[in-house]
Amino acid sequence: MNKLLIGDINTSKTLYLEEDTTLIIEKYKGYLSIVAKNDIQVFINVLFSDIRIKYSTVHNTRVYVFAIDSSVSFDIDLLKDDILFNYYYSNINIKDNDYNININHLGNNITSKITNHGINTTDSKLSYVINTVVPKNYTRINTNQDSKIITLKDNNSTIKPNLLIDNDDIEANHSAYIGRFKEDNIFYLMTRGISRDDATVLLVRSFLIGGMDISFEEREIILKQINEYWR
Amino acid sequence: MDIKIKNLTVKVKEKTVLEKLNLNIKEGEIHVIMGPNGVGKSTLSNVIMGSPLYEVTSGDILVDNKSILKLTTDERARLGIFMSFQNPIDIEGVTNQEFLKMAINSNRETPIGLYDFIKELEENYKDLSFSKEMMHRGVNQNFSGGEKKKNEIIQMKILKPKFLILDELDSGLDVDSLDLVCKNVLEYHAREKCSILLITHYNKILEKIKPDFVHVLKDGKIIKTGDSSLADLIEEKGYKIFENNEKEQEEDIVYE
Repeated sequence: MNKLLIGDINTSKTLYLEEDTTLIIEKYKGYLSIVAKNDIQVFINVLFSDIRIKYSTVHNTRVYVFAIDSSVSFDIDLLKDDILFNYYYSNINIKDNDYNININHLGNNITSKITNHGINTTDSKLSYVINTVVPKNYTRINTNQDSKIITLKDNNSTIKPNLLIDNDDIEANHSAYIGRFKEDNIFYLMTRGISRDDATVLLVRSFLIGGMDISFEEREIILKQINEYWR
Repeated sequence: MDIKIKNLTVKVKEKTVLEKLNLNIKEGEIHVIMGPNGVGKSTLSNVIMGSPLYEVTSGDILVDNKSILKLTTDERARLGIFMSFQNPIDIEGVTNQEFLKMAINSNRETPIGLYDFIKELEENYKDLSFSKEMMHRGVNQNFSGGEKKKNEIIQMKILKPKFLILDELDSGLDVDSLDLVCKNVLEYHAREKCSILLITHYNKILEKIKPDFVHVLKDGKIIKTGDSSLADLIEEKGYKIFENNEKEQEEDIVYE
């Protein structure tokens, strides 16, 4: 497994990845191109950055992103028929930040699952724009996008889920939710003796990590950052 | 643990759902609340647990002669009150293992050791015929109705409460699972001498968990109290026997 650290200011890079990779991007402002050369899993940890990432693949890929207080713009090109693409983005937001993603289906019979989960911890603004794109030439696509922002304080968060579909025989779904954790969930945990604060911690962790099939080490990175930057 | 509910009146959005309800449960006693849908049975269990959805407008709930109305839900749980939910919710991503560990540690000064925790979890999973791999799954996530109920009883056995509220424990359980769950509840009751408030529609479960008292709830009030023969009567004649002129009918029934 590769482990790469990127921390230069104002640079552009292209990475060609042939095996599972953990990528840690800290205080980076600029553009990064990633080309997946195999069926791989990529875990990207973005800290305090303002970054545009282009991700291209002709293989089945799983991409997991965990961001702390960053603006992220993601262009994903799925360039071949029959690709399975699984993407899970989660972030903790502190200041105003934008997150934009374009999932470009540039082949036939592609299945993509896109999950975006944000925790907005302050009164700042967090904006998601999620574009699922299927151009006219491609068909038999099955794509799903599911986006949620949990607000821990009163703030102005937005989600714009867009399905830009230009062909028939496409199955495309989207869902979006902005709000607090369900009070039912908090109540259930509290009936077992867990305090409201600890119940919230459990729910935050599960919301941010629950859908990620990542290594123990990567999970520990996220847990450490949740403790450090939120609690 | 003694529970006294005194003249309890509860509202939801200006609607009275429990009215001047009285109930005394002494240590080790098993009480059953029966009644048709929508009469306030689950409301009562949620109010005892301190659900924020309900407003107690008058009366009191005393545990060992101390009011618990000002306690939060988690404080009531740490006091030893446990509610098995009628419809346990799913919490995706929070594993049964981490949830239970946090729940245990919330009532301990020093955190439980990993070995002791896993050993206890495995023993209780075995008692309820639960696969060990379930501990790594999300709380109730993709569980069948029966598995959710068994999971509630596992939590009960691990958290070792002194007062159990079992809200429709029998719903969603097949015959064998109901046997197993009741066996575990009875063993726990015999060992811990806990008090039990069982809420049910049917008397089938009462063939397995024999109550000391049966109460009939209607329109937010207890309108009749008796022994297990009252449940048999309801099974035979239905709740309609309490519909009109309740007191007169009750007397007829008693002396029939």
